[in-house]
Amino acid sequence: MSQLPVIPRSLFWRRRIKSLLVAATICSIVIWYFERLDDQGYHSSWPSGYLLAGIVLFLAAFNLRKKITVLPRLGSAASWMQAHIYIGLSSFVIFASHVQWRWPDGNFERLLAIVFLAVGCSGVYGLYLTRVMPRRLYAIKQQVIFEQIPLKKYHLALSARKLLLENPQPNEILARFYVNKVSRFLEQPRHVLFWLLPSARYCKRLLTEIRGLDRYLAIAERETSQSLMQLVREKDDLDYHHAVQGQLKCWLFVHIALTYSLLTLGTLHGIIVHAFSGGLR
Amino acid sequence: MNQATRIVSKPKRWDEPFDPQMGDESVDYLMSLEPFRSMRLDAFSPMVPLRGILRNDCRLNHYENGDIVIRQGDYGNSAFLVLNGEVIVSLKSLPEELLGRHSVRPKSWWQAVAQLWNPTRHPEVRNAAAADPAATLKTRKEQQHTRVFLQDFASILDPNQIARLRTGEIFGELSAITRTPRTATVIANRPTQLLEIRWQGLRELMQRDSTLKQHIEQLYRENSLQTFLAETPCLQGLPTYSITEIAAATEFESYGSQQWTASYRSISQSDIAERIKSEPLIAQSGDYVNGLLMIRNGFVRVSRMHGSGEQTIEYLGKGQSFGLREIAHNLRTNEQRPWQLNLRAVGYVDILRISTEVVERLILPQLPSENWPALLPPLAKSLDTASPQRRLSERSAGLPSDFLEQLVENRLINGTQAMVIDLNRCTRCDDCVRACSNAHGHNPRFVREGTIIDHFQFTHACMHCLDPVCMIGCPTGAIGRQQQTGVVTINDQTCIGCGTCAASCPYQNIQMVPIRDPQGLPIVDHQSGDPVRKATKCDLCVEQLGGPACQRACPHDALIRIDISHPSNLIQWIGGG
Amino acid sequence: MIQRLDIKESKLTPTDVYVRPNQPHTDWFVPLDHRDEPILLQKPPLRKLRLQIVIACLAFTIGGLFIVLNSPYRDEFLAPGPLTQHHAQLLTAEGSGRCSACHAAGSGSFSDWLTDLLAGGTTFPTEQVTLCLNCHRSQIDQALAKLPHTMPADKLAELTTKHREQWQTASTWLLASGGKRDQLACAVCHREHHGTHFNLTAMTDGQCQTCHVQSFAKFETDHPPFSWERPTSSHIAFDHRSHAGKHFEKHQRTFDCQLCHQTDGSAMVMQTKPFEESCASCHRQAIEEPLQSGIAWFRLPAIDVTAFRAAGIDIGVWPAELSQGFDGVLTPYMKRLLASDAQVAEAMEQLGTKFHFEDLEDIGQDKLVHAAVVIHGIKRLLWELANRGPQAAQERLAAVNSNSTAILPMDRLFPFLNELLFRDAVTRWLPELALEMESGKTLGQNRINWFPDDMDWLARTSPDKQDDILVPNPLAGKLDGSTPLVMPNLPEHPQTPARPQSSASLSVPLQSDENQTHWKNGLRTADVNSSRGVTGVGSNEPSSTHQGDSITGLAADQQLLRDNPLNRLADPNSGILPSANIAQHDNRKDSVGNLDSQRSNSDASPNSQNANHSELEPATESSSIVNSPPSLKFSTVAHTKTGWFRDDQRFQLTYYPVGHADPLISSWTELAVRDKPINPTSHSALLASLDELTLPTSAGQCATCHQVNSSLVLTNPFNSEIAATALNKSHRGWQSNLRSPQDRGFTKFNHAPHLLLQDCRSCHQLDLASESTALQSTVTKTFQQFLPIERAQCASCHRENQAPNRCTTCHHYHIGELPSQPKTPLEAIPQ
Repeated sequence: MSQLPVIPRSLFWRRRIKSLLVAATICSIVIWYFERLDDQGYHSSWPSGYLLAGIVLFLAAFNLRKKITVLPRLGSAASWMQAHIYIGLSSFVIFASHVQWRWPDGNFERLLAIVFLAVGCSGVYGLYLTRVMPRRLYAIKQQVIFEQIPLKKYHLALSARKLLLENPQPNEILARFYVNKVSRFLEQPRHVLFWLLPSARYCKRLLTEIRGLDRYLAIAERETSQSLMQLVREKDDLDYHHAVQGQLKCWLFVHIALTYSLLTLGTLHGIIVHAFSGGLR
Repeated sequence: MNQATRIVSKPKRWDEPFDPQMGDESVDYLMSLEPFRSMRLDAFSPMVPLRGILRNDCRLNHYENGDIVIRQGDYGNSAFLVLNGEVIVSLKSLPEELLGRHSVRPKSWWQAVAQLWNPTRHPEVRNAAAADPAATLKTRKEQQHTRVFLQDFASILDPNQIARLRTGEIFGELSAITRTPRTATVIANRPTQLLEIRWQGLRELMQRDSTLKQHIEQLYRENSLQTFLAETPCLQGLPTYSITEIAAATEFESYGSQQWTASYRSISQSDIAERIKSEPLIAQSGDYVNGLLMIRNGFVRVSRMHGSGEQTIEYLGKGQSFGLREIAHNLRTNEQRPWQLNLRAVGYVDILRISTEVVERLILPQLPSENWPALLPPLAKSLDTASPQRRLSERSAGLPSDFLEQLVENRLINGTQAMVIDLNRCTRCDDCVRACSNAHGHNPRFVREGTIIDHFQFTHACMHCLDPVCMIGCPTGAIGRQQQTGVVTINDQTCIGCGTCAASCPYQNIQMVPIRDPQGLPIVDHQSGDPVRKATKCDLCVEQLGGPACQRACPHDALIRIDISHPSNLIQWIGGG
Repeated sequence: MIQRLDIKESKLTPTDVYVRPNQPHTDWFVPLDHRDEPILLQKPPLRKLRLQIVIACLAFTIGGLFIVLNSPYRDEFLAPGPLTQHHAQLLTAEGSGRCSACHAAGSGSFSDWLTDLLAGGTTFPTEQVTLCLNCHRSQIDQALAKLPHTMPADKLAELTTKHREQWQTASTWLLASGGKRDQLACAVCHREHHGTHFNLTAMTDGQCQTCHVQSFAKFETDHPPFSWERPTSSHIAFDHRSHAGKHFEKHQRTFDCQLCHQTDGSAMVMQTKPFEESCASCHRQAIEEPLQSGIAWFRLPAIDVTAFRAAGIDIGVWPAELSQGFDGVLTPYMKRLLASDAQVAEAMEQLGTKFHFEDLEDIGQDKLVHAAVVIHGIKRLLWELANRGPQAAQERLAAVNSNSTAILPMDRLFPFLNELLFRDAVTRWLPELALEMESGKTLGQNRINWFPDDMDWLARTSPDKQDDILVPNPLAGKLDGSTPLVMPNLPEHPQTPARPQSSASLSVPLQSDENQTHWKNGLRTADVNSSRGVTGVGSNEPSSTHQGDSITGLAADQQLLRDNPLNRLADPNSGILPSANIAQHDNRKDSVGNLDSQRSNSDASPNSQNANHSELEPATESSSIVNSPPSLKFSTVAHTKTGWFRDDQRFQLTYYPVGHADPLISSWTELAVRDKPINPTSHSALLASLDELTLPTSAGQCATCHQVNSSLVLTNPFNSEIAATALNKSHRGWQSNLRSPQDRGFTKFNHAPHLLLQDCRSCHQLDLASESTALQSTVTKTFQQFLPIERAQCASCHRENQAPNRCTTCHHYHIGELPSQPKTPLEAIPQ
């Protein structure tokens, strides 16, 4: 098997700094070159435009590369990812120089710029997610695969019902409380805000309320409430996983979908500028 | 030796005998045969009498003409004694196909590209004809066993490349004892009756009967000891004649149980301290350093007394050795330092012991000075803290010890190609799984799940173990190691779906999957009507050009296939403490 | 959302469900520890959802674009930004295809653009530059439009090499590093679609320095020292130092630059005020006093006829008064006219350019011969002038000087002049000249009708009348003896010094008047159209009106006279004023004459009759003033006589100039300066006249201040036709250096804003150190009076973060003359 370069976990920061420096240097050189071209009376928009087109195509090719992992000599997805990240970041600078460091005036160009920035920013947001969220996910002790979550929720709900309703001697208070409150929490999807900003607040409140019930429970009954609380905690963890992993997957929707729009608009842009150049190339 | 004295009661294993059908009459029959007839019964302990061994640890196998008894390259844990008839040992290795194996060759570029457009929408699709083992293998049922036989094998075998074994001769004992692959293929030459002795019984017999012991050790020395010694790091650069001399002086010891895979899960619930204590002790700190220990097989936990428990400092795998440093230290500075640490057998361990006197006489003098190990750190006042600390810092470059503990607990140290995922970087995008399924006709070969040790997930993908228990007892030899790469693969065609491997894999990394035809209909066995199953597992993408797809597909440097039988790789990957 | 698979109906065991799900690619996520349980699958799998979103997004984009591109708002949508306000109307106009004004592709459709891209730009071959020039062709030379500095390549190269040599030791900063960009489209610098208030002409220093090899960072520190060629066109020899130091102090006046200098309309360049506003206040008197006595334009020299006779040389007719001895010289004007006559020119050369007739007293035969040739030449000249007037003179000038007629109009060369003057001179001085001319040398032979159109004036000049023609003027002795043939209305002038003359003229016997009348009547038929000239006849304005009017008219006229003689020349009315007065005077004299003899007055116009009668009283009035004591002093305010006078005493035609910048003097001087001699023989004569005209002592002392020489034509090195127009510029180097804002050189300087902050002398410092220059200082000397302007002076303000210090602050890119009013672009938009 082909041995890939192994990067020690603890040394990613070094690679990060190195890549950033390289990207910055290359960017500044390119920008300097374009400025010089403009001074010389050439339109740097042409080279920068072509460069930008190439960059966008390359970045878009990453998705293609992911689909054909089995092909050899295409480089590992990790190295593609690195290139994708830093070239993507650099593309902001190239883009700025391409639009002459000002917000474009034309409607079409504005649209193009907006789409470009949308794709770029969604990418940055995604980068943030992919670098930050895994640790948060790991902080939740139980690790679960996204597609399992509905299943596990289902089983939680089942066991909760079993615990409280199908109990031979059902506990009045807990059962009622379950029916009124907990069942919704366990069996129905969470509030929309939770999907955007998952937090354990509601769960905590629910737990305190359950704990509050203890004073009406006999000692023997309390472990029932304990196990109920346990179920609630697990459900909250599942929800958290569901939300966060959902985010980790969904930002790509924007990123990729807009990429196709960007490619379309970019092509039109290229066609038009070539047609309207009037021998300025 | 002291190992034997430990057995005080009737061994537990006899609760499930090797062959329940063994009755007194067959035992009597055996007792009337050599070599058992000439064995001195009083040499056996009352708890483990010879008859008991024969009844519980042996079974009588009947082979027809052409049946394959053992295959070259297989792992087995039993030896065979020819009771009557004759078997042929092929001295030159037979073609793999003949043995039901297949040598995997990488796809061509075109095939690699073509598989991207794999049309099938159904999982585990097979061509029904190709999926039938009968197409390639002649099998027949012998009681509950499946026998594979070769037709007119005489034409295949080269008459002057074979050896004939007749009544009273024993074979397969070496790999049974040392848990090494079979070195040759043995075929029944005519209707033959063989006595199959499982390794525990064999070990008993060895210890009781010196002739057998000498015979086996002699065999071992002749076969592979010298090469093994020559490859041992600490003996590098010694002249051949001294190697042979050392080989002559080497003693064999084996600890623990070869059925560790069964046992370790059962005891894994018990307290960690208890577990460690339950592991057979090879060397105890404070004892006299009685020799250089070399691990021939299995794993050794190196631990030190820490408080009331033991703390694992590192583990030693196949080929590593222990004790040379102490001996060298004692030789230089005429101190008499005892063992500094405990050595315990993790599961089953084969040890080669070279006595201190031999080491001082043969090894150290000829060892180039740069290969001499450093002196031991001076003894601290209180032994429990300072010096082991220093030693710890020198020996293992800081994996947290509980990390080590758990690696060992879960026997992950067995893996040479374990899949490790850094959960702090894994975005759960499942690109690895998708890549894997793309590389295997849309059938993923692993589940992104597994034991998690300190934000590293040791995923349920075949680790291609150093000690491949899955390869024991495959009737058709469908599962086997690739010669050059050492990757364990399953020949889908010759797999008869018996499920032995899947059952014996301690990591649940082999799945039995029912196959279906291109239309998606299950392929069923026409007699039983049960769906035909095949054993599937990670084959490390040996067919792919680019190596394991999972690793190349991970965009976030989170996943790696890594050899953790030596902790150094893991340490390097994690990036030190 | 959650679908439950029931395992019962499938033949598979639960384990199988894990490894054999019905959904491909989604099996792997079922957990191991749930193998024996029902499976819940999320539907649809996220990746399917993603695919749907992608497709939707793509479809939306393409569809939207399709709609917009086929809608009338296409142009607004595609335009990369609003145009500058100069071009704004191009885009905001109605209808589609507005882009096509500047982009050939603007008329095309999407498919055209696509094909253009695929065909490599062959679909719309029209270059944008050509479209730019559709509108701007009037502003920039089509041929030069794309060339660097809008300058022909060879010119540029030539300039470059020139500067290379000049700057070899110094920096090479302004040298193009050679053909970097031989063609520059407009859009290279003028970039549109950057918003309404975008500055289209902004240019960065970097842009300049890409071609100019030695680039430098800052003007204040790096700009090479100024050492352009000093302005070549100061035509006034004005010694600033002596004026500042001596003269102004003497008159207790402050030496203020603004006295003489002012910015022009565009305030781009500094100009010198005209004479009247600047120098006149001090120098008018010095210039005009000598002119009061008039200048001898034509004079018959006095010769010793006997000497000629003795030498056996026949002079032919010659006035008796001038026959006693050698005297007199040839005026430079005569020399110039005579030079066209080959023999005469030859003779004059023999005699020497500086020769004086007195010199003939004691010399040999040969010289006399030459002199005789000259004398005959003079007579021929007089005769021609008498016959054909200025026309003849013009031809003679043209004959010797190739570029005289090209540049100098008649009315400047011969103001108020016509042949009558000469005819009269002939009749008075050389009555027999006609005979001599018509019959070689012999006298008194049969007469040929010389002037068919004017027989009778020949009759008058018959010898028998000679005596009464030659009646000596009684007053002649007393006065300066000049008997003006024509007199301006001097009598009416209050304190005129010429009064005695006028009285004398009044007392002139009538015959002269008769003759006058006669030939004048004849003239009526002859050349009615010649209203110019001394005897401007039939002038219907103030001439025939009341005296008072003519007085005021004269006052106004003199006012004009003082203001600007050149303007006065340009205006025909004012131009004829003096002659009008003169003519009026004639009429009166005619009428006086007609009192006793009414003959040959038949063709007098009735209104002139009335006029004559009406003018009797004022005439007598004027005569009544005669006795008032004469004041012989000239007033400096205005000299009275202008125009031509015949002096029978000295046999000379005197011209009384109008003052400073008199047309005749200036034009003849200029003529002399611009000599292009045709035949070598005439050369010396021309040179002689040149010398005399440009002497400091010559009439008008022009050459004292005016650096009149042929190099004074402003030329623009870069544009041939501008050089041509410069020849026709009105000032012709008489005025001080005139820079036209239209001429765009490489360097520009706007005086106006600087003058707000600073006094001229803060930059133009007088160089008091070097020695004071003579009055005839050369051009360079004039400028050496000032210290050269150093970079530091500009850099004191023009530096970083202060006044602009960019290349384009002082330098033009587009060189050459730009038309003042460009066409509005709208006219040229192709419909």
